Amino acid sequence: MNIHAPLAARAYDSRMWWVMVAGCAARFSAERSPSAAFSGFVLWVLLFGGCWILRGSVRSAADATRRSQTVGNAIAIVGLSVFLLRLNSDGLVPALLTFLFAIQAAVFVTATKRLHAWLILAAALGGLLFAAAESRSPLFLVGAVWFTFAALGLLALDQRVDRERSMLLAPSVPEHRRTGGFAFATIALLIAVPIYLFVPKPAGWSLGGLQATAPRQQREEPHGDRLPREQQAADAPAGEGPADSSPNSADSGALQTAQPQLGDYGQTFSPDEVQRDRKNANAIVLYARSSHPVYLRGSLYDRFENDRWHRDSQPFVELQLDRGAIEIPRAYGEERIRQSVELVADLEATLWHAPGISRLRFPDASIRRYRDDVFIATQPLRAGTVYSLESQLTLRDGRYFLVADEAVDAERYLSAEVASERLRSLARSLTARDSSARAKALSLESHLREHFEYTFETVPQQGYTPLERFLFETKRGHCEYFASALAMLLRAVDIPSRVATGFSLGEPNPVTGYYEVRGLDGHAWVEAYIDGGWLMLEPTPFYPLPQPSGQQQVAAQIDRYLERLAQTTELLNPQSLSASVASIARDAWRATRHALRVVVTEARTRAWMLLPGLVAIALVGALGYFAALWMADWSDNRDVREVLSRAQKSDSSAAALLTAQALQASGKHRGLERIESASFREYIETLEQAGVAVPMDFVESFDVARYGSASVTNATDSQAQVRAIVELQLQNDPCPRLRRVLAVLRQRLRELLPT
Amino acid sequence: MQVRSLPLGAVLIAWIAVTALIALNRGIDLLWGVTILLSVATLLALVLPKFQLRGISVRRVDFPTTAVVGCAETIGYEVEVRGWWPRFGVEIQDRLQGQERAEATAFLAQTKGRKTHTFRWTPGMRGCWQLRDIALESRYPLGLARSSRMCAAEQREIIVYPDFVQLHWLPVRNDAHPRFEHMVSPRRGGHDELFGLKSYAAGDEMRAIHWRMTARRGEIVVKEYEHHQDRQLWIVLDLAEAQHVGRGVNGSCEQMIRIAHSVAVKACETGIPVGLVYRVADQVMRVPAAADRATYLRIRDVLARIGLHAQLPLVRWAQRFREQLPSGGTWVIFNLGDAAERAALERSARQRLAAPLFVEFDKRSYVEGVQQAGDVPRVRTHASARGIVSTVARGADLSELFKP
Repeated sequence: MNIHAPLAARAYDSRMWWVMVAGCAARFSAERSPSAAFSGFVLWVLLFGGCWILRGSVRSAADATRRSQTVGNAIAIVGLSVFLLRLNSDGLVPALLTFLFAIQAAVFVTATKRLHAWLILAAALGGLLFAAAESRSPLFLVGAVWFTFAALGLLALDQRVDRERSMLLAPSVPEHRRTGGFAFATIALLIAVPIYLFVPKPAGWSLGGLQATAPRQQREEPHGDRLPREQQAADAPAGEGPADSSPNSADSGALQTAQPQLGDYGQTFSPDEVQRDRKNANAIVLYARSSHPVYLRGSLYDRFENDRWHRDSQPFVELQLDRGAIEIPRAYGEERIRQSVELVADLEATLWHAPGISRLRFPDASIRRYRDDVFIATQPLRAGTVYSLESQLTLRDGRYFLVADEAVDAERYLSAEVASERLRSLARSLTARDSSARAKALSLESHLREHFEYTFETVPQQGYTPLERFLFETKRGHCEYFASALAMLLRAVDIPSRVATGFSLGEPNPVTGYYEVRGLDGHAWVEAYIDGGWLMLEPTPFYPLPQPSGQQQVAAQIDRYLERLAQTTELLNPQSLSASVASIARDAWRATRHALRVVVTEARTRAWMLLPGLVAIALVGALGYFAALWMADWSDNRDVREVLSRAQKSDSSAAALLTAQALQASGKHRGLERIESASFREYIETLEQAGVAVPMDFVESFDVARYGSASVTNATDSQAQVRAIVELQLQNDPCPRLRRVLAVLRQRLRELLPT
Repeated sequence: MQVRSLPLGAVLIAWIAVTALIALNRGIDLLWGVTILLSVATLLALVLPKFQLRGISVRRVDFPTTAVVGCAETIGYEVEVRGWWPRFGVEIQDRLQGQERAEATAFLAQTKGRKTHTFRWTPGMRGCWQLRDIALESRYPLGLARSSRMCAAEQREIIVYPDFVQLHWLPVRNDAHPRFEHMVSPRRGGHDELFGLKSYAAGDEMRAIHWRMTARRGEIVVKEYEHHQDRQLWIVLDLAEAQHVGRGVNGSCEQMIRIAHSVAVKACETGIPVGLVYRVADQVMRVPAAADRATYLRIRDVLARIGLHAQLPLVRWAQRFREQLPSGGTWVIFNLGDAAERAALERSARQRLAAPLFVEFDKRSYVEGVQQAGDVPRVRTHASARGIVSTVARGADLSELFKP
C-alpha cells in the first residue's frame, strides 16, 4: 500500500478519532485511582474532540496546509513541554504516554496522507502496550477490544479506499461509507472470546531478566537495629539475629500472620480489626504474578509455648545485591517458579516470596538471609515497590516440596512438650495404618480438612491458639488453629514440622492474570520435613492444597476466582450486598459453564442430539435477527411518521413539500441522501439514475406548487399541478414507506382540492 | 531513502509479534487477550474473502451497445446475494477496456439481496469490446488475501467510437484535375462508377436502391458508387505496428484514429465527400468517398474497430498496390516524420493524381512521453510545393491541425 496516498475520504477523520479515544481508554485503565483515570480520559477525549473540530475548520480555510501545520506544531510543542515537565516529576512512562497522545493530536490535525493515519495507529498502539504493562484492571481489556475494533475499522476503510481508487468505474451515486469493518471485528471477537476462555495461557518467559523498580536513593533506617558486619560469617551463616526476632512481630516473636500497613489510611493493619473494618481488611495489599500458585512465604516459626508460636533466634548473612540482582546457590528443583510482586500498601521488611529463591531482583543494595531461608529487607517495603524472583521447588506426588540445602536440626522441629497425651493418641490413631512419614502427614492433613470447619470468628484471637479446645471441642477456627494443630500432630508422630506464615495467593484475576492479594489472604500453613526436604501441607479447608492448579484456562480461572470471591465475601459478612452479588455471579457462571459442559458432553455422546440444539440456536438467532430488523425499520420510519403526521394538517403547497420530503426519505432509505448544496432538480436526477421512477414533470410541478410560477395564472392551475404531484405514478416504487406517504397525501389533497 | 509503500500484512504480523512477545515475556494476560483477538482477526482476514464470493451472482443491466470515448455512460450490474449475510468489498472485473483479462472495474462496498449497482463509465479507449463472463473478486476486509470467481454472464459487444476534435481548417483541393473533367457525373450526387452492392443502412439514398437485387435477396440492397470528382478527401491509414510509437491512448496510433475521425467529421460538416483507405490481412480496404451520413457512420465504425498489425507499412504497399488506391482528390496521409518516407508517399499520391496532406507525429514526444518544462506541445504546420505537413506533438491541441 502506498503510504503517501492522500486521505481522500472524510470518514478517515472519525476512524482516526476513535482509534485515539480507544487507545486513551486503554491507557487510563492503568491508572490506580478511578478519579484520576476518569478525569484523564475525559480531558483527552475533549482535547481530541477539539482537534477534530479544529481539523474541520482549518481544512475549509484557503491556506489549509499552512494553518494546519501551524496548529499541529503548536500542539507538538505543548506536548513536548508537558513531557519534559512530567519527566521530572512523574517519571519516564507517564511522560512518554502524554507525549504520545500530544503527537497523535498534532498528527491528527495535520493528517493529509495515509502515513499519518498509520502513525496515529502506531502511537495509540504504543500507549496501549505501555498501559498493558501497568494496568491491573479488567477495564483495560475493554479498552483494548475497543481499540482493536477502531484499528480494524480504520484499516478496513483504508483497504476500501485503496481498492476504490484502482477501479475503472465510479459509482453513479455516492455509496454509504460502510466498510464492513464492524462486522469483521465482531466476528473476530466472537471467535476470540472462546479461545481466550478455553485455551490455557502460557506463563511468562521473563527474557531479559527479572523486573524490579529502581533502588531508592535515600535509604531509611532498617526495621530494628542492624547487626554489625563482624557478626556475619563469610562461608556460613554466623550472625545471629536477636532472640525471638520475629520479623512480623512486635510481640517478641509470637506467631503473626502477614501484617501489612495500609499506607493510604496511615493505620496499622491488625487482624483484630477484621471484624470491625472489613473494608480495609479486604483491600488489595499487593499484586503478584506467579507461574505457580505457591504461597508467598514471609516467616517461619518453630517453637510452640503457652499456646503461642515463637521463632528462635537464627543466624543470618547479609547478601549484597549486584545492581539489584543476586543468584543464590540452591539444591536442584525441577519446578522453576517465577514470581513478581508489586506492593500496593506499605508493608514491613519481610520479603514475601515462594520458598527456595534461586534468583532475586530487589530494589535495594543488600538483604538479610536467615538460616531457615527467611529473607528480611534492610528497610520497610513501601507501596509501589516491585521485585521479582525465581524459586526452585520439586513436585513430589503432586505436592510442592523444597529440597533442604543442608542437614536440618530435627530436634528443633520436634519439640512437643505442650502436646498432651490426648493429642498424641489422636495423632497415633489417625496414622495407625500409614507406614511412611509422608502418608502419615497426608492423613493428618486430610483429617483436619475434612472434619474441621473454617471460620473467621476466631480471628480476633490471632496469635493465640487454644489447641486442645480446637482439636477436641470447638473444631472450628481460622488458619492458625489448623496450622498449629497439624504441626503439633506431626510432631506427635515424630515428623519434624514448622509453621509458615505469609500470603495465600488464592486465585488470579482471570482477566488480568494477577493475583490480587488482600489483607484477608494473610495465612499460616505447615511445612513438614520428610525425605530430606520440606513438604508443604495445607490443613485449612478454606484454602486449596499446595499443588499445581490443573487448568490454566481462563474459564477454569473464572470458576475458581468467583468461587473464592463468594466464599470470602460470605465469610466476611454473609448478609452484605457484595456477598449476594458474588454468590449470584458465581451461580450464574456455574450455570453457564454447566450448560456448556452439558452441551459438549451431549455432543460427544449423542451427536444426533445436536440437530435440535442447532435448530433452536438458529431459531433464536433468526428471532434476534428479525427483532433487530424490526428495530432498525422502526428507527428508520420515524421520519416518515413525522411526515405523515404533518400531512394531516397540510395545505396544497405544503403537500408538495411533503411529497418532496417523502422522496428524500425514500432516497435516504436507499443510501441516496440529498447533498445540501444540490438543488431539488439535481436530487431528482440522482434518484432517476438510481432507478427511482420519478415522472419527468415532477420538478416543474414541485416548483409551481411550492414557489408559484409566472406561467401559472390562477389558483386552479396551481391546484391542478399539485394534483399532478399527488397522482405521481410511484405505486411501483419498491419503497413501501413512500407509497404509504403518497396515499395519505393523496387523500389529504382530495379533501383540500376541488376535482 | 523514502519508503513509498508498506504491505499491510507485514505491518499486522509485526503488530501481533510485538504484542505476543511482550505478553509472553512479561506474562501479561491482558495483552494475551489482545494477541488472540488480533491473530483471529488476521486469520479471518485471510479466510473471509473465500466466503464473500459464495452464493453470489452478477449480471449486466442497462449496458449501452455503443459509446464514445470521453462521454460518460451509466451502466449497471445487478448483484444477487443468497443468504442473510451481506457481502462487503466485492469487486467486479470486466473487460470494459478491451483487455484479454478482466480487470478491476467496480467496487461494491456492501451488497445484500438483489440489488442493482449503477456506475458512471467514461470510456477512455476506442474499440469493439467483447464482454464475456464476469469475474468477481474479494479482498475483504483487509486485503491480506484475494479470492476470485468467474460468473457466467450474457455475452455483449460494446463499440466505443473514437472521440474527435472540431478542426478549424481542412485544406482540401477544390479544383478539378483535367483528366477527370470529362468524367464528372451528370447525375445528382456525382455517382459515376459502380463500386459494389451493400445492404441498406440508415442515410443511404433511396434512389441508390438496387430493386432487382432487393427483390431477389429479400432485403434492401443499395448500389455504392465511387465519386469521381476531384473535391474529395481520402483518409489513408497506416496500420503497420512498426510505423507507430507510444502505447494506449497516448500512442501515435490512437492519435491517428482521433485525427482521422476529426477529419471525417469536418469533411461531412462541410459537405466534402470523404473516404477511408487502409490495409488489413493483406487486403487494401476502402470505404468509398461520399458526403452522406451513412458513409460517415461506416468510417466511424471502421475507426472504432481497426487496430495495428504486423504488416507492410503504407510506404511499401502504396507502391505495390497503387492500382487499388483511389484516384484524385486530397489524401490525408499519416507518417512518423521520416523525410524519405514522406517523399515516397508523396510520389505515390502524385502518381494517383492526388494532393497529399501529411500528418506527422513528433516521434520524440511520443517516445519520451514527458514534455520539457515550458515546452508547450503544439501542432506545427508548414506548406510547400510538395504538400502541407502538420507535425503533431503528444498532447498538442488537435484543433490547430492544418492551421496555415
